[in-house]
Amino acid sequence: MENSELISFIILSGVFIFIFMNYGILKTIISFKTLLLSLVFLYTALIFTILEDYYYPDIFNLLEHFFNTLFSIGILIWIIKIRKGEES
Amino acid sequence: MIFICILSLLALIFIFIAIILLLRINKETLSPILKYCLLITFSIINFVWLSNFLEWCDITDALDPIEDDIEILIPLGFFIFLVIYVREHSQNLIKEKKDEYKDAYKKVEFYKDIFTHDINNILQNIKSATELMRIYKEQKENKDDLIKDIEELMEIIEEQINRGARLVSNIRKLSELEREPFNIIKIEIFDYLNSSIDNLIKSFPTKSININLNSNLKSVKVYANELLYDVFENLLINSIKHNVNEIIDIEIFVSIVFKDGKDYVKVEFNDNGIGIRDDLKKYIFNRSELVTSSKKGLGIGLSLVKKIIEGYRGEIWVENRIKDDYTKGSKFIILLPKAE
Repeated sequence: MENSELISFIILSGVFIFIFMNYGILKTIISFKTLLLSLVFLYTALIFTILEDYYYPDIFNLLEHFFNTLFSIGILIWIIKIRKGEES
Repeated sequence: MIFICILSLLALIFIFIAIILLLRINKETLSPILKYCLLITFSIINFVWLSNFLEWCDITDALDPIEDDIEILIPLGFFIFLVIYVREHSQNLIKEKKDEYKDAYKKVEFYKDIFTHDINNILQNIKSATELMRIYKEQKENKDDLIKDIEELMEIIEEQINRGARLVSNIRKLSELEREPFNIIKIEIFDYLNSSIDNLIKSFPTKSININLNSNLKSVKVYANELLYDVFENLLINSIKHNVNEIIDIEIFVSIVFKDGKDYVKVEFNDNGIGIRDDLKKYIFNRSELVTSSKKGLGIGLSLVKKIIEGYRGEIWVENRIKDDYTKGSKFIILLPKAE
């Protein structure tokens, strides 16, 4: 396992703790749930990145990329929602 | 392998579109610092995924060492974005609370001023009248003179009691307006005007009041509510209170004007009172502004009037009845949104 993957995983865990502690404020971000879901996809992708070093590298690698794509779709939807909110 | 390449390519394209859309978001929606934080994070994501894509498609692995170093910046970027957002939001919240506190302090000062100045003034006038009664009773020998003087003093006391009652009623309405949302309906303006005029003449039986209502319109509806009666009553009482002439002349004009693409009903109240000095004109509708200044002594009637008119999305202002000579009387002008 690469160090950077583990550090990314720890930082992203910290992000979720931060979100949990400041949810009251962060929920005021436009379409925050979409951003949160995207971050969950990124987190899942990171878990699979770590797992692929130990078990079923092919399957976990595929899952990693699949969740990364879901994350990018989520982020794109989030930005579109912000733009739509701006227009309305 | 091909499937992974396609997924990576799709992810790259989606983030790239997100970057382009993000660039077009204006600073009112997302502050520049938050926007650049996201832009940097998205760019890093794209770089990392481009490196992965090139590697998986066996094109090159030259970007791999840099990719490993900057990969940790992705969650870090989101973390920084969220921290900045929380900080900005907290600062805005503190600013809002500070403004609320300032407003509350102003209101407290405003009501304190009413009680220390206006109520005290009313009580002082009543006290003086009763003291004078006592003096007249001891000094005057002619009973007819005594009765006449006492009647005059009773009138003063009655007037002061009415003034106090009006003040309390206006304070109550003003505080209610600050608390509750405004309910606006279609109402016939002439009904309210005529009713205000009738009541006003009954309230001042000893004064010679000449009120003329001039209009080519027979009926016109505006968006307002029952508080419009208080608007007219306060303006008319104002014209009578601040008038030293034997005959009080009040001319009311009602017309329709077109302003900013909308029809408004314009109501003008012209009086022959003492007028309003130019330096006071901007303060008369906001008594709370006068609390800390030396220009005390104006009632809260006009503050209430302005608050109500603003609630109707109308306008109110005051001019000299005769241009460049405020001593010849005032002209209060109201614009109210005309109902279809």
